[in-house]
Amino acid sequence: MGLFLQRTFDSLSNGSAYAAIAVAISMVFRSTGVLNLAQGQLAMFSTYIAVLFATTIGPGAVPHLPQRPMAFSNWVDDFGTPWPIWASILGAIVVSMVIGAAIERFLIRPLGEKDPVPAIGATLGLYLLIETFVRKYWGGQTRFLGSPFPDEPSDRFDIAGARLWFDTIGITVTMLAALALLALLQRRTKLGLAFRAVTSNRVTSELVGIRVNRVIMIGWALAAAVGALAGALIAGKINVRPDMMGRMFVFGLAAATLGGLRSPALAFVGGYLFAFAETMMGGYVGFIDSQVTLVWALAVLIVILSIRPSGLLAPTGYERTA
Amino acid sequence: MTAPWDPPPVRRWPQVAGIVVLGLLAVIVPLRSTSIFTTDLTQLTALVLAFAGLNLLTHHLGLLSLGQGAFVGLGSACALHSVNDFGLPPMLMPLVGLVFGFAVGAIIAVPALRLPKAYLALLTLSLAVAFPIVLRQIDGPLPVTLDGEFIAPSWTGIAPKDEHLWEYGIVLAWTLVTLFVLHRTLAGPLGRAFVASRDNPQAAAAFGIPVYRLRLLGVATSGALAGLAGGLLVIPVNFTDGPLYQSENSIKMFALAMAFGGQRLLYALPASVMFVLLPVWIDDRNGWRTATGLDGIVKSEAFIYAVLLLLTAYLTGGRGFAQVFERRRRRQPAGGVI
Repeated sequence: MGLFLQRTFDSLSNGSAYAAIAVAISMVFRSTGVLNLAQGQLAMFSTYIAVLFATTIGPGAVPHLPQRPMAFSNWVDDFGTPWPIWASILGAIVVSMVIGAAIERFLIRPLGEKDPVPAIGATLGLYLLIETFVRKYWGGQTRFLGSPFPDEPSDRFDIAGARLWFDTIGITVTMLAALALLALLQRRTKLGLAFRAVTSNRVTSELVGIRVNRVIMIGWALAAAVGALAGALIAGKINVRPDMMGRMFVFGLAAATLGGLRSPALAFVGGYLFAFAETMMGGYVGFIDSQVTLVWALAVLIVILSIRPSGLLAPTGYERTA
Repeated sequence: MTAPWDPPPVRRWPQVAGIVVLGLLAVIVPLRSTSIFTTDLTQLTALVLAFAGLNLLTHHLGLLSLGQGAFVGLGSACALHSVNDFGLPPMLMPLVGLVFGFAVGAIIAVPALRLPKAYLALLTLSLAVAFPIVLRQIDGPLPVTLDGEFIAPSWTGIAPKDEHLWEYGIVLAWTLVTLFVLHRTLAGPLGRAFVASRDNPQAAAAFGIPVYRLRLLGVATSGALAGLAGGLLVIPVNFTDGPLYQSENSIKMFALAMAFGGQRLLYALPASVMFVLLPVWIDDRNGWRTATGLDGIVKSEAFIYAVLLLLTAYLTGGRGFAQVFERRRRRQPAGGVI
């Protein structure tokens, strides 16, 4: 029982990250029909931005960081960095929102909405650009951001023989709060109403005076913010490196599929379900190590799509493409 | 006398001349090159099939696959194990790649095609990420070498030290035969049905075309072609290894198929040339691989592919430069339409 509980606790942090990425993917897909394949890389880039804010230039200023060959970090230093870690994460979220909005405005919108192929191509191009930038411009070394929550060995609760770390609780609660806030924004504000109207019927929304393009741009910005928060929070556990979000992205995609790619709420649940299944399979099935759980996620995805094409958790009834 | 609205007569001689030149190059270049370049050329020839499969999917059916590199890897691994573990003659091993590529393509396509286009991209991308991990789990961390060799028969006159020429010959023969069969198939009713299901699925279905099954066949055939290419790749490369089939390869292949692809099978050639020779070209440029900063970004392979993807998306609407060129060529002269 203790071991089962421990594994359940262990799945919470990853579940939060998968859920956040899945929600971000669903938000963008729902509003624009674009599968943003650069969502994981954007989150990784935002985490590097948080590292920029949390550190300073100069050899030996921060012992575990090499001297940064980052041109715009000089500009960042004008803001009095290093900042406290929470401020750095908030700064990264704001920067990501601007980047997300800019991507929608300058990269996705000019491609139109008739055909998803060029938009998918553009997001793949963005994926490669971000990866190249981080590897070549910032060196691609592993960096350390640290956890915004207490993470000493003694910072934990012991429950029925299982250890629940404070930072696991912190990550989970913060993500739940952020996603609840997002849900509240959608349900209780004019902007949320406009967003729901646009995702439901774009043409009618335009006819009733909703500024559709602006609403979609805000949707992209919010999706980027959710991704940035996930990346920055999980960075304390997995460190910051160019491939840090690859695995998260695949699991996030799988989780988003559970909700038919169109339901952020179901994608959110899917994120935790996948993390739970991943941890349990890795823990209890002998021949499945942590890498191979990714394959099982793919297998589960194929099975789910075969049985319930619109997503396991989504309402029944789907449309064939032809 | 032709009416003014008739399309201009098709001129065959440029095509024939082009094919003759290509044929001559295909024979002369390997004979005049180093063994290393011939091996590159052999890989390039095999990968033409993988790109032809991707073109079939992207430009004939309007579908997206981000996992073609994984299908190539699957073909390689299955072909190699069919020789090492089951004693199949090495000459027949590419067929194993073809069969497994077809089967896995169909398995992926069954659920994905019931949903919007993005799902096929999603599933194939997941396959691309998962494949190297599976291969490492099956084969272990070290490369697995083929237990077989390709010795040229005496009638060829190829010396044992020139076995790369014989390998090139085998791969070229497989590729030409496959391309011929594919060309004939796509020129017939099946090819027209593919295009109809891409351009207007509802109308195609109304005319009795089984759109879902047709797309299923398309995805499976594309997988089969990539699997065959993978099986053929084992001939010059002689081993399989997880890192050879990283997901980045699939993304690069998709970028090239988008940029250079078109409905003609010949368009697979420039894509394959760039895929194989661009890394070689970058390696030959002094300091490009190790460059950092903005200079390093511009001189990196990933940047070139990113620019290619973005240019294709913005300048051609994702249809590829070849299709834009073809459309311009087909455009009727001014005043020709009544």
